[in-house]
Amino acid sequence: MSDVESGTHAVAVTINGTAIHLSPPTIAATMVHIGVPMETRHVAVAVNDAVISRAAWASTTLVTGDCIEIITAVAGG
Amino acid sequence: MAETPAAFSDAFLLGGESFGSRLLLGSAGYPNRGTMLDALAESQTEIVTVAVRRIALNSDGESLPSLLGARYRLLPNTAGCFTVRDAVLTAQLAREALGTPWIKLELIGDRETLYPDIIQLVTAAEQLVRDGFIVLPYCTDDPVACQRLADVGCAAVMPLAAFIGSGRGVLNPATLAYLCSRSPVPVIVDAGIGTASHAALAMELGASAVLANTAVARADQPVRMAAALRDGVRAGRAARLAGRIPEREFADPSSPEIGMIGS
Repeated sequence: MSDVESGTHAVAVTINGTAIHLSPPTIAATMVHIGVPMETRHVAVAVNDAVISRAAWASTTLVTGDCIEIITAVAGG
Repeated sequence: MAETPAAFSDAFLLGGESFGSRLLLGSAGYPNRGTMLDALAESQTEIVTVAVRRIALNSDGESLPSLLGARYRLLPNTAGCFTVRDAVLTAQLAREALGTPWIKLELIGDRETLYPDIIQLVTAAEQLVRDGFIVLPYCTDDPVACQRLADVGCAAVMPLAAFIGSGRGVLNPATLAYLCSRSPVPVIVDAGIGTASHAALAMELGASAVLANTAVARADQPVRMAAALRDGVRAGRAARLAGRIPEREFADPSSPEIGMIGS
């Protein structure tokens, strides 16, 4: 089975504005990359300007060129 | 949220909920978290605004939503958004992260003044209302613009008193009073509040509530200023409900003119 077939291949994406090579191409891997545990509350993810609900994180496969934003709430007026 | 007893006759109705406080506060700019928490508690606010930003790498300490979410209704904002697309995406991310459909919609048209872009604001508000959001738009005191925002379903309008963070108070009291008199939705004066008298004036002019951040967070003593704003909002509201005397061009003596010595 190839890396692509097994879902372990690397993809060139940006996470919160930083370009990286991510493997495997999963939301879980993005969270590991930024050091945020998957179960962290009050976090939301968007891929290419579309919100990915937490329920869909496990089933989302990223591709090269994807732009991922991982956000939370901070102090604001 | 504080419970509202049946006997409480001046409840603040907003977005289908009832609140006891007419002071909303922001969470930014405090010297430290402890001071922020103390100030929020002293103010007796029930609604606190937060921003939506990229998560910091390996951030330490309890997250702000965890710290505040149990005690206050969190009102995420779309601060820093200059386009409809960015504002709508930010609102959607905020809803996903915090589980609330409430959004303080900010759509900025000028970086120097942080003045709202009303045209884009109405477009974004309409999209978000259709998507089930409870939209509180940061806007101008233009009565026509506010009517448009109400027409597309905003739960309130939030006209600026003066530029964000300027502390200059209500620069256009006549227009604000007119807006308050004809707005079909609550008017929450947001931005430019500097001190308690500004908040009191906004309420006397007919605003339903006041939102402040810098006025408290950057005061010399934020906790004392939080108390002052709390009291200012209450005093202004009480005066409004009491029905003030009209302004007169000439004097109207308050002591009797009958029986004066030497008359």
